Amino acid sequence: MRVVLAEDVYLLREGLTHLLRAHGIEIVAAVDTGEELLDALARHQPDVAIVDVRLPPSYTDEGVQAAIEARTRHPGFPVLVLSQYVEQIYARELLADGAGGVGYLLKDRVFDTGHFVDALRRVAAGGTAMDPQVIAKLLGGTSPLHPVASLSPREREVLQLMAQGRSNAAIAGQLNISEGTGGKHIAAIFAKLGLEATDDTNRRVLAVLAFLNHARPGPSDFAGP
Amino acid sequence: MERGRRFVGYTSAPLRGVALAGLALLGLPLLVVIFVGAHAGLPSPVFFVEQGRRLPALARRLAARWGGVEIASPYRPAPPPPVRDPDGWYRDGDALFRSAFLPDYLARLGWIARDPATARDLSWMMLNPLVGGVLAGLAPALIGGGLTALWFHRPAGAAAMLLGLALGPRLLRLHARWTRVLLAPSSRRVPGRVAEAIGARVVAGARLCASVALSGVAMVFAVAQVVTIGLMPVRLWPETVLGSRRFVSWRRARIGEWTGVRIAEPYHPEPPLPDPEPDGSYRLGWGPIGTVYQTRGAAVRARRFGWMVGDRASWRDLAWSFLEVPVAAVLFTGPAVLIVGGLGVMCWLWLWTEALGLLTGLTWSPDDLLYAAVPAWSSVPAPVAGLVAAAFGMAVAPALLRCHALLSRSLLGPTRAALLTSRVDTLTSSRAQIRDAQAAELRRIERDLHDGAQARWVAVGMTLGTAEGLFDQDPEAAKAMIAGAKDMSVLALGELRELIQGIHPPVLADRGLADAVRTLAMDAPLEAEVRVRLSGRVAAPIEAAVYFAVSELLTNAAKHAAASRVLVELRHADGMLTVTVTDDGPGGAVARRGGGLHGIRRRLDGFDGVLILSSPEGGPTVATLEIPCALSSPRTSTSSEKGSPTS
Repeated sequence: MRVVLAEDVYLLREGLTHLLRAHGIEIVAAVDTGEELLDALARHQPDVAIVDVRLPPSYTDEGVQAAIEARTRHPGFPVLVLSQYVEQIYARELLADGAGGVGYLLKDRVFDTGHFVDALRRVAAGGTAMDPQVIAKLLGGTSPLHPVASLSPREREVLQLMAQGRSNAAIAGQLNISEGTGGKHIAAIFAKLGLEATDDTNRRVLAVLAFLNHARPGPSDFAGP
Repeated sequence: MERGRRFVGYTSAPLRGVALAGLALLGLPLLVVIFVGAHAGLPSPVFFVEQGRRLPALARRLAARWGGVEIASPYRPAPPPPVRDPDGWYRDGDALFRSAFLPDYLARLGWIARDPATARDLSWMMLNPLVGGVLAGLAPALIGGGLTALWFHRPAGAAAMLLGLALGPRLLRLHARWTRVLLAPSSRRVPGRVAEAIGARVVAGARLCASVALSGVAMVFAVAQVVTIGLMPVRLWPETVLGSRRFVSWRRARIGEWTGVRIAEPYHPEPPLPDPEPDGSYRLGWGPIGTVYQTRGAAVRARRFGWMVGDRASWRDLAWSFLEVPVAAVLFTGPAVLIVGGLGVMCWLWLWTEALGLLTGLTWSPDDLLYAAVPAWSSVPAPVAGLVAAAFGMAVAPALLRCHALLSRSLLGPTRAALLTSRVDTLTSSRAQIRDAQAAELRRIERDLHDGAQARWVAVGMTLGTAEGLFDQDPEAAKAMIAGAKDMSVLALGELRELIQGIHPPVLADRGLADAVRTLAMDAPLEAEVRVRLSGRVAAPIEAAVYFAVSELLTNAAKHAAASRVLVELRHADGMLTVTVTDDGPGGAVARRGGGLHGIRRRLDGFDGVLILSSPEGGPTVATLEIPCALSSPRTSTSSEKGSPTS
């Protein structure tokens, strides 16, 4: 797998390079601005890009802007965004095109090398890897009127793992339940949220994320002044 | 059967008309009784007004039974009896009472006075003899008159009697409808533009007449000040000035409310007493000399006297109080005489002398008296002339009130020097607050870093050191320790992240206020809609203050107000950033000292910003932040959303 890395902090850039090489992943370019990232993508045609949210020269959200720009030029181009903090607003912007191949993780997740590399491979294959904190925020920001409120605690756990992009087998393994039980939970969740059930993990994740993003009861009838 | 009932209806109508006319005449003496009784003693206003409701109640019943017009009772429900607090006291606002009598009485007094139906009842008693009485009495009068006329002109008498009989039921229905006009619950219709303009002028006329009376009160205060400063300058004069200031402040507020001319309070704040000397005495300096006061009371009085003498506002108030009577005489006397004379004397008195003349047969009229003064008007009927005069007085009232307000402002408003002084005071206090808040914030960050991340990194280092030592002897144990150190560094990162969020949220730095507020709305467990109309960015410290304020308000809405929907609006116009947070909770929110809203106010103080909270029982709660500030770079951001991502 060939990767372009955009990270401006030298220590982290070197650390990530070493870590990925150790897992047999090739770093074809390591850059430190959004503009260079777009150049490198055009030149090297990598399988996936790993992008830090804050990049020079503005040190704001250059990384996200560059990732979105890259996906506008090449729809569905896989991007894994890393950040010191996660915000729903960035997750929504990255997922907005509904094309998959998106990851958005806290930098801490890199510590767990195995999971991190899994997530990277999943994204490169057109899948999704959302940080558990993003999912927690999506779920936490729903009102008691939202259909999510009707889920049982176990179903919420399953939904969180599902939204992170885990497969049925991975979910069952994580929660120490049989794959059949996991499948039942998933069917119940889809029924309660009124979503169309599907076996394709990636389409399922996107459906869940899109649901959490958009399917809130519209606030248009707010009786404000 | 049907025919029989109609016959009874036609024959009974004149008798009922007589009864209703009698009822109408009863209204006037009752009004006098209520008016006199209400001023006779403490418990009487509630008693007399409440008992006086029996007559309108009877009129409502008769309107339903005889006129076929159902009229609902318009009164507000009586207040519940006061409840004794666990500590044995009865509470009414900020006052405590041992017995239930006074709070109960106050509650009932407020209930009676605030009910618009009370005023409508009283107006009905005043007007009903003239309108209802005439409507009710017309049919019996026609029949009675016709009967008398039978002796000398038989056809005319018979015709009048028949007309009276035929009109009877119809007039009863008309009478019932008239009763409904004032005795039914007032329907809150929005008045038309013309009605509104007329209403505003009528109110202005009343205020103008009140201003004449109030100028007399001002004169009383002015004279009292002059007398007390001559007799007991230190002991009595400051008390008089305080009383006068209370009156003048109330007048300022009324002028603002009546004319829109806002007058700020010009007074210096009361200076604090210096610390006492070791022997318990107080030393106060007056310019080049000073005095030693042996008791605290004497020092307080002297300090207060000095404070008032030294405040120019005291003397400007006094000058205004003296000038009120001449100013009112010039500006207000003419229109006030036109209004009171026109309505009270020419219309009211004329109506009553005419009515009495009709009833008693005496033909005395005040016309001779009134027109003796203005012979040119004698060709115009008195009520018409009175109405025209009153209308003229009311028409000019708003302009005159405004003129008076502007004159008053030149004396009652703060001088330029006083404005600057109060501005310096505000700045000094807000600067001190900001300094304290900053120091407290730094201490908090230091403590969080010291107890949190720093301690964890020490632990990470120690664990890694131990693992290094163990590496050769027990690789498995060393591996477990390294894993532990990794977990600890994750925890430390989490703590740092929270700390940074509390200092300056990264999304605010990255995206600016609009998107930061949107993320707050997304993270809040409510349906939150964000509407932004900002054509640029505001200064970073203001962005942070607004961000934390909105965060606090959203938390309050979700937690305390149990709201399910919230609307957040940000807009900038005329150098003012306005943020409103409206929730659909049950209302009744108050800003307690030390509470979150109080914290927001303190934070906004540093930017001359204000937080206005409106939270009536039953909701909605609207919190409004207003911060004077300019917008930087002209970047446009206009949208309204929650669900969809921004482009």
